Amino acid sequence: MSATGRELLVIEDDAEIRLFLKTSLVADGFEVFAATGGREAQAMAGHRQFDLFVVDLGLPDIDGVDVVRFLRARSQAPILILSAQTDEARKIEGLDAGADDYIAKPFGIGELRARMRVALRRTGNAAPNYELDGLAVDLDRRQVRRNGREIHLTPIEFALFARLARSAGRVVTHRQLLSDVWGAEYVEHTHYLRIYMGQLRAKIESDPAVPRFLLTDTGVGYRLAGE
Amino acid sequence: MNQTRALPLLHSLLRAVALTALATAVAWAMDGAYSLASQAMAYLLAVVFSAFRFGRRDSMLTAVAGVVALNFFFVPPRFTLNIENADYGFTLAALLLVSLVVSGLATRLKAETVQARLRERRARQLHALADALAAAEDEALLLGRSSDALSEAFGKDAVLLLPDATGALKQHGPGSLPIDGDAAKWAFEQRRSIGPGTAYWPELPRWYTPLPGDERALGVATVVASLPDSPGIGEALRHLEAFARQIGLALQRGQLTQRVQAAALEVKTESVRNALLASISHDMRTPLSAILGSATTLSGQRQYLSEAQQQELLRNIEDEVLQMTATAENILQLARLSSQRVGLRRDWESLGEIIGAVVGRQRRRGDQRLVVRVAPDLPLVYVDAVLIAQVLANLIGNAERYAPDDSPIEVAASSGVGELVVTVEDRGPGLGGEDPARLFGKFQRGRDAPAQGGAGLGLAICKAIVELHGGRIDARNRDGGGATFEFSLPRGVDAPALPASIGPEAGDKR
Repeated sequence: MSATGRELLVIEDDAEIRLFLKTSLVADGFEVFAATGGREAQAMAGHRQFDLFVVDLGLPDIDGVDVVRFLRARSQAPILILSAQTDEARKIEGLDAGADDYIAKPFGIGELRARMRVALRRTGNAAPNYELDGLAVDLDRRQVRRNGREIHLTPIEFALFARLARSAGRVVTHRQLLSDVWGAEYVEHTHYLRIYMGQLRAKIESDPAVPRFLLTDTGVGYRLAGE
Repeated sequence: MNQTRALPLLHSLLRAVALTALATAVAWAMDGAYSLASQAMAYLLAVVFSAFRFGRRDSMLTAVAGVVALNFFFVPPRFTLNIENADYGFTLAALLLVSLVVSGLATRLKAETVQARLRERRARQLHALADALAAAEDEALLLGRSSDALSEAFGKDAVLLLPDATGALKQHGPGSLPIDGDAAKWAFEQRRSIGPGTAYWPELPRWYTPLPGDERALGVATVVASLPDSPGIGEALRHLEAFARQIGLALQRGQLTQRVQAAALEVKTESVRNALLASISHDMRTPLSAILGSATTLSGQRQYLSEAQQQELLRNIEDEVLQMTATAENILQLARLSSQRVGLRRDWESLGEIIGAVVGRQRRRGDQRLVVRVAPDLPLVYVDAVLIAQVLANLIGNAERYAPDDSPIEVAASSGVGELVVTVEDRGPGLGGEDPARLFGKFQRGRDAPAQGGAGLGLAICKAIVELHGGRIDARNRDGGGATFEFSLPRGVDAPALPASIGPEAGDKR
């Protein structure tokens, strides 16, 4: 990963996780700063421009979601949240507050690196195109190709796919998808998503039952595979 | 007082005169054809009748009036009270004597008959009460029946008083009667009957009798007492006490049963908790042992290990951490499910999508044995997707532990009658003789569970989650070897249809 000189703020109260992140990310070429709580993080973010934030949702002093909100109000840098496995409601809160993606604890360093890569790519270049394993999308020309062959999508299917492609590799919550594709008044209509995702998978996936590209984050949202 | 005493005497006198007049009429009809002795019998009959019908005082008066009337109307010289010869005098004297004796005997006989009937009725009442109480399943029913029986035997003002949580006596059932609280309390605390005919508080209008228990009174029964000098007062009081004894016994039996049941429940809860703790402890300790073993081997003997061996140990640590994570998730979910406040986060979900997500995750972790068959056009279901995913993950994880490395694990979803059915099937050793109900029941692991364990808690949570959704879960031996785990989710109502004219498909929102 070409991360030389990038500055990263880890906001995590657990010393072992801070140590493990610092050790492996410094080796990747990041300059790693650490805050043990929300207040410290807010103070640090006020003095320095970071390139990436990693925020634990369960902080001792301030709610992690509020920290995400604070950071997002001041910075465009990607924010990754760390959360417990089963706490989908909190993940969604964090994502809707402006976080780019989440990683469920416990996580491996490989998983974290992959998420960080995707998140940093977002700010690097806003390429409107997507290409992975023979699936190619040209957002400007509204074209989707699978192994060179064009796949015809209805306008809604394309809008949904394009929304996911713009956040390729990152999760997009149900609410964000419904609001961006159908409109703010449709955020409760999750059954639209189920049906259109089913149609999209039938057209795009080689095995729609176990998708390769259009992945489900059960209880949270969908993501288009990033790598 | 005088008036109340004088009135019955006057009534008796009038009845005696009336009966004597009747006897005289009969004797008059017999006159000439029958002897004076036979006419005397008519008067004697009147006395006997009076004794049975009206009692001692009436029959005595009738005896005297009869002798006078016989003398006046029939003993020569007739229509005078004189007696012509000694023979008649003897007849009159004999009539008087016999009348008085018969009157006495008849009265006593009558009183004994009445007593016998009363005793019989009371015995029947007690018997009926015993039957009713024996069949009462709970305390409310028991008290209701006791009140009914008391009211039937002692008048409808019968009341049961029971101590509440603070020990104060409270009337059972509705109504407001002039109950003397102090008297009730005294009877309750001293465990003695009080009121008329007892040594305590005889001036009370009611009796208060404790419902006796083993160590203390369990309540008080109170009824309107008999009049202080009425003849059967002692028996009536004893009858009330017999009632109270029966009610007390039944109450005590009920309370004892309750205590025994509560104790049994506590033992059961305790044993479920112990089984749960044992299961959690096992499911945590097993991967922890493996992790610690691998880590200490790596840190202490690295120089003796080949690169491949080191990789294997590291891989082992990763696998065991994933295993522990699954266990931790299950424990967390169990805690969440057992706290009543957390409801299901239901939404319209696609079963196929949930299966795809769980299977995809397992494949990325390296298990290539999973095969998915989802029927096309399955309807959406209204469920908590995260929980259903956990059921699937547990069932698949279970199959992965038991299935041989080269055999497929098949996950299928199809539509049944009014429900959607999901099956997870493997070619492992199957259930053996294991009772499926036990498998899901008490954090059990199958008899032939391999050492890596973990199934116990998982299956119990599967059952809890599926049942929360109104579905059922089952396990059986699979044809051709292996196990089939199957759960169903009720279809309920269908998802709302997609309107034809919404969003960018129709309009131009982009």
